[in-house]
Amino acid sequence: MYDLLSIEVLTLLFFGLLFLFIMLGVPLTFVLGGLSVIFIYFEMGPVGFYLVASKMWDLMETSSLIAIPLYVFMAMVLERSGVAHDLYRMMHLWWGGLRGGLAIGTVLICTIFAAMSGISGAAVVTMGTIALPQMLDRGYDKRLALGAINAGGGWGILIPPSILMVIYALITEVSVGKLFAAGVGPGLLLFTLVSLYIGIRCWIQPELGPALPQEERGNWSEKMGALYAVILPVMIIFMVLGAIFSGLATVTEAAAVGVLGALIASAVNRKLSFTLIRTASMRTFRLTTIITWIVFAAHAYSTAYTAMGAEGFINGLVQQIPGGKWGALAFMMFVLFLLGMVLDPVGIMLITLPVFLPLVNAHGFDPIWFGILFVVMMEISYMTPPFGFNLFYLRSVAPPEVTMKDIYWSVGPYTIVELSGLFLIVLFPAIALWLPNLLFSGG
Amino acid sequence: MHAITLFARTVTGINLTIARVLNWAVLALFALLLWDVIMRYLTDSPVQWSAQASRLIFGVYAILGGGYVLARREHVNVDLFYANFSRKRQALVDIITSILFFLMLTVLLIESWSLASDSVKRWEVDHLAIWKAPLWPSKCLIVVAAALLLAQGIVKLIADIRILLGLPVDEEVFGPIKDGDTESVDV
Repeated sequence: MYDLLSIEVLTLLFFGLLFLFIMLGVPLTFVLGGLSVIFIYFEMGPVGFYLVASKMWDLMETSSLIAIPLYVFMAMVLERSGVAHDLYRMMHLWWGGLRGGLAIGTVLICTIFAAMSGISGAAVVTMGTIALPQMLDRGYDKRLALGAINAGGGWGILIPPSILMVIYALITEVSVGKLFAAGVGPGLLLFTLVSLYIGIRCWIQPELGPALPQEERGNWSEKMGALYAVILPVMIIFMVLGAIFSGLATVTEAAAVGVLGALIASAVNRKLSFTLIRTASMRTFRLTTIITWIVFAAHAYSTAYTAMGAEGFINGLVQQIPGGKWGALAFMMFVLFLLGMVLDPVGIMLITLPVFLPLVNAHGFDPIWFGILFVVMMEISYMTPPFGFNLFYLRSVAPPEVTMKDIYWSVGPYTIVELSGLFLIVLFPAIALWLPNLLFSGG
Repeated sequence: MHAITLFARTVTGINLTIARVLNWAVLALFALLLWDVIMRYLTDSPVQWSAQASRLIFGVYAILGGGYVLARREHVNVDLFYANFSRKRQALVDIITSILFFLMLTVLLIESWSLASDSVKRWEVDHLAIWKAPLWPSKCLIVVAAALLLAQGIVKLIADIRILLGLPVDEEVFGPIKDGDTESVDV
């Protein structure tokens, strides 16, 4: 049967069926796994099936994946550790006097949280619960406040540590440490751009984010007293990222140190309990299982894709895109943006990378730099309608007077700000690559 | 009908129990790796066996929960259109598309069986590790993981058929189970 089908038809069938079954609501891992089995059969016959089991064994032997449950566990513990409450109090006292200050403070907390956590969802829920009602109470514009949380809440996957980067590094075989380091600059860039946007907008239109009245701003002793809130987070960030960047610990070992930090933080805040650990542990188990089954199926899928010889065909197609390497880059970013509307980042990464990586290499792009663009794009897709994850998280915790329409409209300006950030990273790759080159110049 | 319900109850129960026990392994991973860091820092000599041990634990931890996650219906999917289908239409679509699931899991089960039996025949150990870590138990557990997920998939198929026939479906038995936590998890 295979002989009857040309590579064009076969490739079309491969991606057509993939798209069809995904749209029918079939879990991604079964779509990828099932289609791999079918296409492996047509390419190699039943003898090729051993690949499926051996891919699973490869996955179990991959030590870099051990970082995933640990970073997830760390985030799940931190989410309930009370750290966010203390940070919010501190931020309220220090930034409240500035126009738009509460919103800027909120994205600052998002940044700090992102540097402690490898996943995104937690920050949106936490800030939506703590910061949103406060901002609305103080007369902040709904859309300004929602958008700030929406944008900042996605930085968990960009600012190290990041689960998504662990998976990207696994597939592209770049160093996770370098990738983590490359996320620092772009993370700070996005934080700066978003803060500037809020600050300037509220300076011109004070009614969007009024400064707090004098009596709410607190005196100096209160301000200094509230600063203790940053001690624990800074300690954790220092322990984890410091250990990785100085080369003292591997990314996985640093995760274990981070778990220790998270447990200490929740103990200090008297939040540590058996229930907290059990809930965090069970959720970690679920998320890790979900991710590893997708990664496994995607390995099989990537094998089938390569065996089919579709790579050359796709490469040929992409070469038809006008604009040379920049046309190809724009095309890839556009595809990611579209996929981001319907699929989750891990899925998008595993489906597109087998197709994109040969292009990235062919055009001479730095895979670490491309990884950062990839993650920023995922972050943007998180917050854009109609199906961004953050939108639904926010909806689930926002007070009833906030409508889905408010949430949809809130992301507009922030998306433009973040896209300009992406553009800056494309223009000046050093924003991403300066730190990894500095830290890991020896290797 | 009795036998079918008993089968479904057993499968869901086993997957639930495994998840409730195995989820704690994350603490073992944490302890092992932390111990390694501390020992290296203090004594300058890493624990020889800990890297291999944590890999073995992770391997089992990462794959054995597939059935439990299916019982919760938590394998990531796109519910863009799916969410708007009626319950019966969802069941019908799931029955038709389950061909992919059964293809994948049948192949995985058969191939992992031959991988495992080959490994057991020579009581395979890791010759590269300082301690000759046995690899055959992990390979056998791929078979178990595949079987557990396959069985839960059969339970789901039965549930879908019952929905299509208009028969009652007990969610505690057939899924989606809640297990005391309804919040979703995401990257």
